[in-house]
Amino acid sequence: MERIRIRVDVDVQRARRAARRLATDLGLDRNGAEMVVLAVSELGTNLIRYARGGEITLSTMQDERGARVLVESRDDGPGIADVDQAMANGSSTGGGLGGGLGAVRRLMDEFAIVSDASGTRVRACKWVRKSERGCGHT
Amino acid sequence: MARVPIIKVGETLIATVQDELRDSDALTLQTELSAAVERTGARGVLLDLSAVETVDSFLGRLLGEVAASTRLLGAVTVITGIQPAVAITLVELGLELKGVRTALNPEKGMALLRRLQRLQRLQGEENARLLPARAGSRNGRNDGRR
Ligand SMILES: Nc1ncnc2c1ncn2[C@@H]1O[C@H](COP(=O)(O)OP(=O)(O)O)[C@@H](O)[C@H]1O
Ligand SMILES: [Mg+2]
Repeated sequence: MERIRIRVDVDVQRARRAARRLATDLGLDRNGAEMVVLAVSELGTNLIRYARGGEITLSTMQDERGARVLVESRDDGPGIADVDQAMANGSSTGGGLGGGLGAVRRLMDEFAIVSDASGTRVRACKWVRKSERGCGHT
Repeated sequence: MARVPIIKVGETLIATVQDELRDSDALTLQTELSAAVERTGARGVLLDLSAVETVDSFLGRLLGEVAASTRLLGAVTVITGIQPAVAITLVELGLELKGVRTALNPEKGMALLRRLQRLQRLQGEENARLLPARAGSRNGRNDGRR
């Protein structure tokens, strides 16, 4: 498991590298690994932009159901007032099919977000073989 | 200073990104490219991204902005070397670099730039031929000559 504190853009770059290494080592192909990397990049950028920093945790799980990469982002920032709306149209910066969070949901196999006034937590995972469902317990 | 050097070859500016770009580097590159186009009067920009492994929504949007702002300054931008994995994730982002010209590698990019610049020049001549006629007709003169 790897915990990366995110404060400035160099931290996001470190998190991307770590995600690429982890995903590749687990057996994801190039495209699959880049999807995980991109998800990490979007979540990390949001931590800096909207929550004055936070933490990204990367881990892998392997059991009888298969192998998957887990990406978790947490912060104690202001939270997202309306998660559905933020997911639906990407809000502030506009453009794209629902901005960064929407992309994370599409890029990963499983996606969950919890947000309130005490902060935001996103959990997502990607299976090496996509037939499975759910991320499993950490 | 950006970590991306910008060189001028003829009427074209060439910027080769050597490494993963941090957001701050990307912003610096954007500013410096616009300034360089303005300063040199370049007609084309070739931006090679072969070494870039990830284009996220920030960088994707910024690339679109670079192309749009250089176009306003009279230069066409062609982006080269986008890796297949990057192209796929761009589609997932819904950022298919709309309005951005791309080519497989710098060599093909230069060829594309030459074609686009020739087109631009022809259009310029066409406009120059038509505009005086329009200006003339507005003044009641309609002979199409200066
Ligand atoms: N960690 C976070 N803390 C607070 N708000 C957030 C966080 N992440 C995202 N948001 C909110 O959700 C919106 C959508 O985010 P995103 O889909 O990444 O698009 P963008 O970053 O381009 O606005 C943001 O504009 C922001 O208001
Ligand atoms: Mg974002």
